[in-house]
Amino acid sequence: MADRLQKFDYRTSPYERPDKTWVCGRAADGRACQVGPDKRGHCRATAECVPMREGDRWRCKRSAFYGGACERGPNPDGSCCEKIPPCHPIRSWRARRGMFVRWAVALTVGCLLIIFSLPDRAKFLSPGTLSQGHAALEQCETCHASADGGIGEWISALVGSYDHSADSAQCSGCHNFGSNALAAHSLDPEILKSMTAKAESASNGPVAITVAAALLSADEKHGAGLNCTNCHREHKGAEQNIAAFSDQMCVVCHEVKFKSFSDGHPPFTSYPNDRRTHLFFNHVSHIDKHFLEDENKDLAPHACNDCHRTQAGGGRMVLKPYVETCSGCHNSQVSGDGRASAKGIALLGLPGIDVATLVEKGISIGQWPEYAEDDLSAFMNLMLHANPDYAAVQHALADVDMLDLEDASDETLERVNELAWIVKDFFYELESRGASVVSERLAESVGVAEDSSDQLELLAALPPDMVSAARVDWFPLLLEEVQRHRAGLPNATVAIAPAPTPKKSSPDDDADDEDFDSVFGDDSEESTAEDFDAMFGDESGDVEIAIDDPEPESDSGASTPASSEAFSFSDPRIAVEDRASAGGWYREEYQLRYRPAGHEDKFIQSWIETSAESNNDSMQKLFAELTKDGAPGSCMKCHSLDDVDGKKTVNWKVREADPNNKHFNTFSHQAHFNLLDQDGCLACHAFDKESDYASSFDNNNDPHKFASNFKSLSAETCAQCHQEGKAGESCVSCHNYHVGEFKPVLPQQRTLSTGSPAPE
Amino acid sequence: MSSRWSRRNGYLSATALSVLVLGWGLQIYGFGLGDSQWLSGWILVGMICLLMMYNGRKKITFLPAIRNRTWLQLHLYVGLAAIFLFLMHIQWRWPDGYLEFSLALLFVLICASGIVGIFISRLFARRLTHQGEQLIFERIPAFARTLRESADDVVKESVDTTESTTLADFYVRTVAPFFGRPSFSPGYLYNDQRSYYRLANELAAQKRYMNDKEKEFTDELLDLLKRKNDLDNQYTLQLTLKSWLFIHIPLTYSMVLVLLAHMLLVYGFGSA
Repeated sequence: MADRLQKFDYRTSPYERPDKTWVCGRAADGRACQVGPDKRGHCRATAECVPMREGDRWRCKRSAFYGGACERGPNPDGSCCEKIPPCHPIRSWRARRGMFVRWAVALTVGCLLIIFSLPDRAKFLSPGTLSQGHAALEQCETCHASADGGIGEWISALVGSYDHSADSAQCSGCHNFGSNALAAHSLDPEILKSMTAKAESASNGPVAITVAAALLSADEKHGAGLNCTNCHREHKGAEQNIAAFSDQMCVVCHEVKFKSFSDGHPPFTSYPNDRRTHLFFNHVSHIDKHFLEDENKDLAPHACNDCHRTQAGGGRMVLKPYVETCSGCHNSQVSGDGRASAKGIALLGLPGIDVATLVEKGISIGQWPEYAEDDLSAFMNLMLHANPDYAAVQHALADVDMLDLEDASDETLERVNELAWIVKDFFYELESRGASVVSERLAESVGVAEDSSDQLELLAALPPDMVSAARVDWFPLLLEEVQRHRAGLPNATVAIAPAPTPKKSSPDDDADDEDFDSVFGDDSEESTAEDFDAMFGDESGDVEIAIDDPEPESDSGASTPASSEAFSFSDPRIAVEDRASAGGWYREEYQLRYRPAGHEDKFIQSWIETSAESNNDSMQKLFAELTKDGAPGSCMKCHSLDDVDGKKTVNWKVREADPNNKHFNTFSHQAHFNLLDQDGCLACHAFDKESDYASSFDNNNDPHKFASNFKSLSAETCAQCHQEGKAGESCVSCHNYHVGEFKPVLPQQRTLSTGSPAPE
Repeated sequence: MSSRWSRRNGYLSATALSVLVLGWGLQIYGFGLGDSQWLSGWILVGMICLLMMYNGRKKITFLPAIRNRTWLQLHLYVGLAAIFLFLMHIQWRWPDGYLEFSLALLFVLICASGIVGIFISRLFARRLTHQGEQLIFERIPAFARTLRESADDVVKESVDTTESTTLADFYVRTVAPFFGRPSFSPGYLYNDQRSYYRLANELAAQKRYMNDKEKEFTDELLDLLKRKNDLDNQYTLQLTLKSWLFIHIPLTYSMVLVLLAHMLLVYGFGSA
């Protein structure tokens, strides 16, 4: 059959309308009627034609498609004789596709409505699994501030704006990055700007970096508008490292742009020497000189690890404990053994005064030890400053030699008188109220809070008995005197002699025997009685003294030097400060001293620290006293003081990595040990024997003005391994982004007793 | 190389270049701490809108807009670029959130159906053209009926003329079902016409029992059988060409709805 099936003429080819919704139910059988269903899918077919009346006859009008006029012709009533049986119209293919679309839409909308209305919709709406560190977080509102707001707030965020800082604040609830958490590098923007200004001149990197940098505004380069989510994207799966940071992201903002560490990284300037060492330890002089001396040979280390070890975690190399390193040679310097000068620091004591002249001039300071001849100690100076009158007295007597007042003016003598009573007043208070007086005065003068741990360390359990015993010896009638003085009554000046305690001496010093006798003999008691009579004789009979017991010191329980028991327990031939060789308080002449109890003596440490950090003049004098050459403990012989922008810090320890303190550079020594050859540490840390290391500590408290014992490393050394295809050269291999001291946020818990949230 | 292939290669090159530029741009945007997912997401939304406009363009035939053919080309190549942009948007990682998974799955199904659509549109159209007569799909049932009636007539005439029922018996027993309604046979999709050839061979084998007159009728019937086979082939291929849109278009609407929900959540939870 050569005929074509499809013909296109109006007689045989029906007009197809593919956009019709309904088609004849018999179309699938190939017998579709020409009438077709209506728009609602109802069959409209009745007969093959609608006969037309012509006069009194009906004429068939069947179309040519059905074969033209039929032979039978219309029925007598004018209806068509060829009835079309009704059908059930079916949808067209296009309409069926439309139905599919509607069903798909309805199904999707339904599913979405169900999901959005579920109580635990977070499970379905979550865009993905959280990283392992956040895996335990199940509530959206833990991180998303808007989660509580519901769909209404989400829609407003879609059409409006979203407060990203609120979400970042949620992050800060667990991750503390300080007050500048959202600033670039978590640094104060001003600091960052100053660092940027110090950077080398700007340079262009690869094209992509240059273009990306050009798209950023100056403010954006300095971190404006940053939020946690700029870098940390969550919901990427449990294995996702949300702290990952690409090198390009670093370089875009930096002034000096480069391709990679091995290609264009700025050269190291002084790495790893960014400051002087905490301890004044000259590696070169020790190795080339001191360790070679005969007396030190056996103690000298043979390798770096004899003195150094890795800190926990393997990052930083630190010094082994003092007892394993320096003590072998330097212990005697700390303890003071063999020291010619005082081995303990003078704390509480009396200044020497020309008592004879005061007696002669009729100045009434009451009893005063004739042989006291020391200057007022720095510590006493600090204590007396709490007295409002002291500053003027100190100023007036600044250039006065109080041991020779023969030629002093009346005004000077009056100032000496005032000073004497200020000192007595202090000891009176100390006797009456104990160490709390020192606490109060420390709090008042230096601002160290009472009852704080600092106070405890500063006081070092000041022994009240010793203070009381000293007071009895120095001012036997102090209590009466001060009360009389406060009542405005005179106290005749009486020189007390001789000194109450053995002078500083060696066991074989014969002169001490005399002193000892004078102190512990009967004379001292007699003189005390005489003094009492002289002071409180008939002339003062009209004064009522509120003291019943003429020997109040006996009630205090303080043991006097005259006690026979004291004699039996003390060998006078041994110097007092040698008896305190284990450290602690001791009395010598008219001073109460403290001798360091070895290395890391908390008392000396605390006073050096406190006085260093204070701007108070008295404290500065005390600091000078504690840190001068030959000072007890010789702390500052090795330990340095940093003064950075007015903030003073005594470096008691070598630098150790604080896990909470992030620096720009991070390096793990331990990870590099297997790379070292026979040179060991020296492979990287080469000695710089030309360097003037000592100058770093010579009248210099700026740690950044320094000369290192070691040569700086070069970037090329690191780049030998740190390059693509070897150890990698990612920025974050050696650099931290967040820089600063960030202490971990502790969890909030309910109080154990009430179950209510703990107060902020 | 024909001009069509040259043009196609040109379009593919332009698409590849666009994808590379987009990828590069997104990378640069990310270098500046910009959210490249946000940017790629909005570009993807724009692309999806452009792709959906093709369906609208087909419905609004009266517009003197770009020719439908050009729209189709645009649809194809933008769709191709959208696949790569989608991969960049999901950062080459299959999302594991329920909603994001659904959205990605819908996108993949739409793309897959689109690719299948392109493939069969190119392949089947060529086969339909090679077959000869191009029939309107809606008319195929009527043509099938015509062929069935023709076959019936041949068999009746054979009985009347030859007074032999050999052909008629075989027709009724074996061939008649083949002349039923047009049928969808998957074999035609990969050009497998073994069922037709088996039937035709069986019919031809009957000729050994026939006289010359019967053989003439048998030849006529064989011719009708071939035309019915061609008709079924047309029906199967054209139906398939219509059917893939039953996946592509409804899923597109579903995807748009899920996409709106996705955007709502992205903005509502501050990820943008």
